[in-house]
Amino acid sequence: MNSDNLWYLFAAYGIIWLAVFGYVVMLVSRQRAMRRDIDALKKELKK
Amino acid sequence: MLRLKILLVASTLLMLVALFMVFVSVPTDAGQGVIQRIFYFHVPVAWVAFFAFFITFVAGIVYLTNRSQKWDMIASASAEIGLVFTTLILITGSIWARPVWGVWWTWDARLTASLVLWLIYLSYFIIRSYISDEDRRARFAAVVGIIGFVDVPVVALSIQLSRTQHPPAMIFQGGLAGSMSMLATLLVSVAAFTVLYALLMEVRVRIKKDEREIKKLKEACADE
Repeated sequence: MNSDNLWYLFAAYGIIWLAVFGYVVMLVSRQRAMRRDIDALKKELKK
Repeated sequence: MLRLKILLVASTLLMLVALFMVFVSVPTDAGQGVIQRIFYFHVPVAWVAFFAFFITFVAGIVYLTNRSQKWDMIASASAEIGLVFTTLILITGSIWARPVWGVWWTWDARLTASLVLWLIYLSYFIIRSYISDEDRRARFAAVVGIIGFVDVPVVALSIQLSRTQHPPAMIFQGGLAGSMSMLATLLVSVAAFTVLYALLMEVRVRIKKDEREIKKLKEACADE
C-alpha cells in the first residue's frame, strides 16, 4: 500500500515538474524565435 | 532583464526549499500517509490558477474601460498560465484520488466545478483563435474572462456549498495549525509558486510584446 502510494506521489510531482519545465522551454524557445524574426525584419527594413 | 533574472533565482531557490521541506522535513500525515504530500503542491498550483484568473478578470475590466491592448496582453498571458495550472490541478487531484478514494475521477461538486473552470478558459482561447480583428478579439475575450471568473468562487466554496468527498480546506479549520511544519511547508510552496507565476507572466508578456512588434514590422515592410 505504502510503496504504491509512493509511486502516486512521485508521479504527481513528476508531472508537475515536467509540465512546468516543458512550458518554460516552450516559452523561451518561442521568445528566441520572435527575437530572430524581429532582427530579420529590422534588417530587411534597413535595406 | 534584471527583473527576469531575480524572479528566476528567487523561484528556483524557493522551489528547492519547498521540495526539501515536502520530502525531508515535514512529518508524514497520520491519516493519509505519504500520499498527503501531494497536497503541498496541489494547493499552491490551485492558488496560482485562481490568482491567474483573477488577474485575467481585473485586466479584462480595465481593458473594457480604456481599450488599451496592454491589458488584453496581460489578461491573455495570465489566462494561459491559469489554464496550464488548472490542468495540473485536475491531474494531481486525480493521482491523489486513486489511492485514497479508489477512483481516478468522480463527479463530485469540487471536481466538476474545476473541470468546468478548465473548459471555460479553454473556450477563452478557442474564441481568441477564431477572431482575427484585434479589438473585437480582445473585447470578446475580456467578457469571457470576466464571466468565467464567476466559477472560481464556485470551485473554492463548493466544499461548503454542497456535500462533497473532497477534503476541506484544513488551513482554515485548524487542521494544519496543529503542525507548524506542515503549515510552514504549505506557505513556502505557495510563495514558490507565486514567484513562478510572476516569472512566467514576465516571459509571456514579453512574447506578446514581441508578437506586436513583429506585426508592426511586417506592416512597415509591406508598405515599403
